[in-house]
Amino acid sequence: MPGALRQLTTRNDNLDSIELSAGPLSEQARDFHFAVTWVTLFTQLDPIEASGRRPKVDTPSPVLALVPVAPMPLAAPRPERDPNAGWEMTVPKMIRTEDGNFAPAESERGS
Amino acid sequence: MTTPANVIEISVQPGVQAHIDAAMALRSSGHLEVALRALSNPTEYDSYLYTVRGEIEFALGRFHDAALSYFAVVQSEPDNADAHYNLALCLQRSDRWDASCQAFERVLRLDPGRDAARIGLGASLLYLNRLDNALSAFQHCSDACQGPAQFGKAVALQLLHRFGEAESAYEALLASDPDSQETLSNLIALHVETGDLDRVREYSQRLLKLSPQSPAALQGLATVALERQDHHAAARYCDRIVELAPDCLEAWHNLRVALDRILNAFSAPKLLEEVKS
Repeated sequence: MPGALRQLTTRNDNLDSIELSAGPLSEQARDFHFAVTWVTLFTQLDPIEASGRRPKVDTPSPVLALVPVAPMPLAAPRPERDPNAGWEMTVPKMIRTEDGNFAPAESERGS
Repeated sequence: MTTPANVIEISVQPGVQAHIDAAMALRSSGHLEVALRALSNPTEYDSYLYTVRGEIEFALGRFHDAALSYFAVVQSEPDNADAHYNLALCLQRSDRWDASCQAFERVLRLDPGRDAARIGLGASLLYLNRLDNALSAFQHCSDACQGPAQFGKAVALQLLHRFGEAESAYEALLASDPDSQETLSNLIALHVETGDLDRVREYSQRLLKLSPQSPAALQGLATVALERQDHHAAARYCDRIVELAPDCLEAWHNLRVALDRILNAFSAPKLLEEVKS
């Protein structure tokens, strides 16, 4: 039923009393939700891609006391990392001696 | 050379670098998933491997996994500002606003001149509703980052209900970038709040020209039409909104209200006359 017809009501069949009733006409519009957004800010933020391995940075140790110290020997420069290089670890053979300690296998043989 | 009898020889091939090289090549060719698999089970800890892994995970949108990768990097390299920054972005995109603020603050302690970290910090603070702190973060950005900093400032001011200052900031942005849709959308919201319907209509029309399907623009125009009893226009805009966003209940309601008013305006007086005659 059209909205206008819904508004038209009669009272006691008296034409003079025909009026527009306060029905759905009085229904108010609802407010829309207007959000404040800041998506633009996130489009400015991209991750930083690493250009390669980070060089090792020697951070100086904090000074705890002002005392004369002997100069430290300079550390040997680290060799460049070779991706094709292999490495090996040597583990000396040890044997348990009678007194419960360990001794190199060679020295045991020699003794 | 023979190995002495008392030496056990253990040889290990260097796997990590080979895995990184393979992953980088795969990433370059666009095979991100495969690249990630190449880095999935490292035989030893290598911060560069975890950095590359974080980058790939970020690109795949796996922000939580990327955060874990970058977290491993910052544990071993606490002075690595880039890793802290990337970790902050991952936390931000995982909606971990508070943790992202802490990570951005660490970046700024390591590198106070990094504007992007201030922008990120301000954006996260806005989500945490720490509006004064957010405003301060944006205000401390250098001139090199003026655009986003100005936008962040405007948003913070708007949320602080300092509407006049917010409008000035937005207007300055529009002067340099008249097509900024988010600026126009926020200005519509601002003037709806202040009740300035002329401005709502002006910015809505500007936004509608740039983006004919913009919900903010259509809702702005519908609001003005409803307030000014322009029922036909209100019905037209609401009809468009429900077409684009069928779940917008306000638009359905207001469409019915506008149609009722149109029908009433046209039919009721005529019917009343007919009945009376």
